[in-house]
Amino acid sequence: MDRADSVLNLFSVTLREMFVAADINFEKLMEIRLRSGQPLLLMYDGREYYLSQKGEMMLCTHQESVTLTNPYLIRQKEIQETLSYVSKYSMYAFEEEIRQGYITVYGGHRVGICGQAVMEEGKVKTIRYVSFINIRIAHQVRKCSDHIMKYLYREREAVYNTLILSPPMCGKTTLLRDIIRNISNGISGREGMNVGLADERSEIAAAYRGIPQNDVGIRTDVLDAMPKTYGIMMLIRTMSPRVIAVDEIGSDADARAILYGVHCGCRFIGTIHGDSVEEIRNKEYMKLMLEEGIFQRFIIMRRNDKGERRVQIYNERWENIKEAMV
Amino acid sequence: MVKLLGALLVILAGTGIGFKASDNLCQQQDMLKKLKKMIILLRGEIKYNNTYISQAFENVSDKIAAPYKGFLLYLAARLDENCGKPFSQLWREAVEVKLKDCGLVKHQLQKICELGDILGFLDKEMQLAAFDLFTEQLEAMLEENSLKMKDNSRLYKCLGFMGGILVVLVIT
Repeated sequence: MDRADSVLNLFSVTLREMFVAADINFEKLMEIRLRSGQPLLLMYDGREYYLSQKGEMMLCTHQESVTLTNPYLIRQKEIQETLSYVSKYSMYAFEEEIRQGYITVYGGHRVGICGQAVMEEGKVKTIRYVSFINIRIAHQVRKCSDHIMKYLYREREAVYNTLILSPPMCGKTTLLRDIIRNISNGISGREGMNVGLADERSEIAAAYRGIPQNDVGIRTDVLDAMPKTYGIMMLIRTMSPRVIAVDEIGSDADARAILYGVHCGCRFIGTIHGDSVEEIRNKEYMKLMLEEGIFQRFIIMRRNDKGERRVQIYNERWENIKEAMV
Repeated sequence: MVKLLGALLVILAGTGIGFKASDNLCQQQDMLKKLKKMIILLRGEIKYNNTYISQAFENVSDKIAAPYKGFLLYLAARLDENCGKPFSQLWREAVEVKLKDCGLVKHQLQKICELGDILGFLDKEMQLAAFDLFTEQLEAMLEENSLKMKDNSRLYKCLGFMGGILVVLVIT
């Protein structure tokens, strides 16, 4: 199943026909947003578009941001049908994911859902009346990290603990995936290393029935859909990785698990959401790691107006050692 | 001589019909037992492996015999197509295509169809409850069929034989 099929199969039959009519290049498609009673919006090649009733892809201009010309409006029935396909007719199998508000599907695409939360004893039991769906299309860009890899190696057989930070949609996960692949396979005379991947959201390896659909290298062991805190411990105990990779560090527990791993002698490559270095420094759970100097490399990613991604690499003293496009 | 041979054939045919009717009851019982096994396996697959439903069908199909094996594989393939139809409709279609001639009677097939109306959505607890409810219904059907077998099996055979003799007497 190619990328187009893996995306199209998520949608109701009507929407599939709309996408086919719009002749979309799925390599450039980044995000699809369905909102009940609202236009179907696409992030495509770094810009926002909507689909017209004729199935044409129209650019959302500033003037049109309030009233779009003849947009196709999403019906609640289409959202329900889409949800059936996203969950493979098995909502029961995604209870935990629904509680967290997203489902990762075949191909590594992440489907975020919103609706009315059902609470039980102060916790989210489920989300009902799902009326908003956001599908983020996973992109695997091989070799995108090739020219920054040499800055991530400390010596011949070790990598620096590295933190990749950027706002959403700048390609953190894509870059992380390629770094994992390079470390695992080996690059430019560096030997490949065993990498343990705690893929909590199934976005990096995009494992389907336990088998990675994305190329994460020949020496990578993937612990899929397990919370990072448990995953890191389990990887250390069972697979003895030289490097552990995690996506979206976001809690005190995550930080503590990473500290434990570092003290066990593992190297870490991780990502974190953030607009700026200051924002990261102010996060409570990051303070301890930064104070201890856990990370020696920081990769900051940004996307410019043309949609191009730029990375800046800093060392442990926050000196800029490399700037590049990826 | 020809008359005697004809009479013998008529009696044999009558007896055969009786045996067939009796055999149908046994086959029904066998089908219901296999169905119960399928439901128990599906329940376990969903409870312990938390697999989504088409995968559960595929996994269970390895452990059961025809016609349910074909039914599950057919249904799993249809579900994976994401063809735009609701689960209950695909389930009914699979029952129609793969189980129609398996020996179960109309009301038994109807019960199987009804199971499809409550599978695939809601939470795991509800899925398991749906399987439990259906298993109870199956046990009642098995019980009913068992009684029917006890009462009617010999009766059908005798009726077939006697019917054959009656026809011979009437035509001679």
